[in-house]
Amino acid sequence: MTATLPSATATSGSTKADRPGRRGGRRFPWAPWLLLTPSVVLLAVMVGYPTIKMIVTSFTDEAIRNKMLGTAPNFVGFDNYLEIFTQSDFPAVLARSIALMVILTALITAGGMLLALLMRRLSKGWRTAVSISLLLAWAMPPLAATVVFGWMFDTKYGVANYILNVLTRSNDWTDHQWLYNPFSFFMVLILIVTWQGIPFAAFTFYAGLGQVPDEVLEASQLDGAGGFQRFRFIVMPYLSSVVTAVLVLETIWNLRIFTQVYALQQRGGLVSETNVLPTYIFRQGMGEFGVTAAIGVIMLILLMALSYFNVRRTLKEEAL
Amino acid sequence: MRKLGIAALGAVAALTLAGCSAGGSAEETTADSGTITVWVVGTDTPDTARDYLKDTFESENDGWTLDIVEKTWADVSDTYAAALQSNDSPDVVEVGNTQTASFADQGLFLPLDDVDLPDDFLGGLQDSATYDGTLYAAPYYAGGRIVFYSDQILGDTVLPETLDEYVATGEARHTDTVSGIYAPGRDWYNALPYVWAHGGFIAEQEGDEWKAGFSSEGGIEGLTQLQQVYTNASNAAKDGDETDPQVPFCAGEVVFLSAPAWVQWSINAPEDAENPGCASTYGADLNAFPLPGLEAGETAPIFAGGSNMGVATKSKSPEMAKKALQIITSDGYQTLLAEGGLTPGVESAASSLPDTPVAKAQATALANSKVTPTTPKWAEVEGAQIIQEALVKIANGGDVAAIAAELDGQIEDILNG
Repeated sequence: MTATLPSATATSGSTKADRPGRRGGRRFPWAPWLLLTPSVVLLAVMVGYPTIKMIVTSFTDEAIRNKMLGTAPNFVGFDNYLEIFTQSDFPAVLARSIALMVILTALITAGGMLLALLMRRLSKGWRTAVSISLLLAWAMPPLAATVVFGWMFDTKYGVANYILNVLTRSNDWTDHQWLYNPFSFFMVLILIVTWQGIPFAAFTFYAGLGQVPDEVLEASQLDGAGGFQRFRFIVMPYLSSVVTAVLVLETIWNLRIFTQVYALQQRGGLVSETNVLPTYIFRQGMGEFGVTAAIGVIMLILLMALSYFNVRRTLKEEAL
Repeated sequence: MRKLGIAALGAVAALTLAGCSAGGSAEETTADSGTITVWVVGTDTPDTARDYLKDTFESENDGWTLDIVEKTWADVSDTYAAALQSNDSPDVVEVGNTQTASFADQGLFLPLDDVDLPDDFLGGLQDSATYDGTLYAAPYYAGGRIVFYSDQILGDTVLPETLDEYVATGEARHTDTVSGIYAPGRDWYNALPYVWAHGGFIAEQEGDEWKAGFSSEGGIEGLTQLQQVYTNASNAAKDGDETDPQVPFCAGEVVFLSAPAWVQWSINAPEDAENPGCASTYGADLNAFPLPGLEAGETAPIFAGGSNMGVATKSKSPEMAKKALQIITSDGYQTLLAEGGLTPGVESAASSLPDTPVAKAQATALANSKVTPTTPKWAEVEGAQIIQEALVKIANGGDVAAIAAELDGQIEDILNG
């Protein structure tokens, strides 16, 4: 060992005595990788394998029958992707999903920020009350929430129609079908999802707001900055990594929203005009794994592309 | 990083191979003891029949037990598909008759041509259980929709003898609060008789191609008459479905209620039950008749609902599962089904049907019944809910011809796709 590395022994004799195994910077760092192994294996099993399997499947015509009969599926190249984009209503579903995701994310982020700012201003008692009501909305299972909202907007017995009848002193709203018109279907849907989504954003922003140093805010106030200016130029820069995290999460969550859409479709509503990506996949034929995997791959690419810029910005900021 | 990638690939490969070998090792064992699991759907199967099946099977086969598990209709597509291809598969399962072909097509059921089964199965159900000329499931029971009414609400109104009279009576008795005919928009099983009675059809095979028939001449006539019912005779939600029809009926808001025969139990439930009925009021004089056809004295073709029983391909002991199926199709068991008011899948047991107006009406109605197209792709049509959608649009006053043509296009796309 000493013979192979004469220069090292010559220049740093003491180091050699301390770390006898060290051979310059080239030795494989076993310890950190050993520590990482459990998580790497877990990731490979839980995320890596399904992802690779999905990508492979999307190029085949695999069906349940292949598994049952033990036959290999046929490789069909890009047929599944071609079919999705040319022969089906997939492009419309994709556009609808993205539009819904943008609206939901904007509403939830803006609403969450306003509520967080409000909570900073409230007295302790009121803040507790607001926190508890937010937590209740957040803790409610989406399916239960959707069923309750579904009853409120029920055609025959819904409270929404009743209240509107009372307010307008007419019978115009009797038997009004909220879910029949796709536009009002999505209004109800957005109401449910936003109502349940805001608590998470509000709590995260509220925690982030606590990190903004009071001295800086006070200094800017002395310099004559107004409320909006302080928010835009002092608070927002401090919050930007929190906002990015919430935006990325909300983007992903809102693009793969399933329960609420599916449950509302079961109550009423025209399925073909209200499908979003996850319900669309679910309603494909039983066990048509090839096509559904192809839709999954497209969703994956979409989500990665949407998250890429945000994640990269966060990493850059952290590196500074 | 590179080494890490190789290691990850190795792990993936190992996992893939492990998955393959696990999948291939399902071998048949004829053990001396074991458990056979039977899945039934819903509460339809009477307790007497369940006990009979368990006792008979266990006494005929020493050391074997039989478990009956109750599933719901919501399970019958995806939960079933997942369970039936797993190594923990149930042995005998009940499926809806319209879904049987698609299960057989996916290889989830064993062919039954080597099993000694009765030869007098109900025709409609047997057709639905036959795929590529082979029987893949045993007809279990059939159910048909009949028209319920209560004499207290009907009053002096004369019972209709033709479909046109039925619609006319429904319109005449319709008020702001009372539906002459209760017809929610998404109830597509109840919409089919109008199409069929006028000579329309769902889809027929012409050579290799499926041709849908809602926009045929008869289909349009039927759907137009149905639109008349939706707009002039019914107060039901135009985008509502057929669940819980006993609620408006028990409120005295329905003259004619076309519903599956088992709805009689919902209506005749006590007022203080968890799902309250109206046993002491409108349930007390509940009566029923088969939906009349175009001419007096004939019935309209109704949808033959029902179930079949299949043996899972992945069953650990298919021989024993087939023995259980033989008990299920035996006269003793089918008679118990009949006594419970279900039209048995074996015709010889039909004589045991109870002598009630509801049972008689159902038997008459089922004598003229049809099923949905027998193709594995049909399950996809139901999954996409396109028929319900078209009906909701018709109920909302849409142009029948245009909606029917669009629907036919969608159905043909799926069936020929």
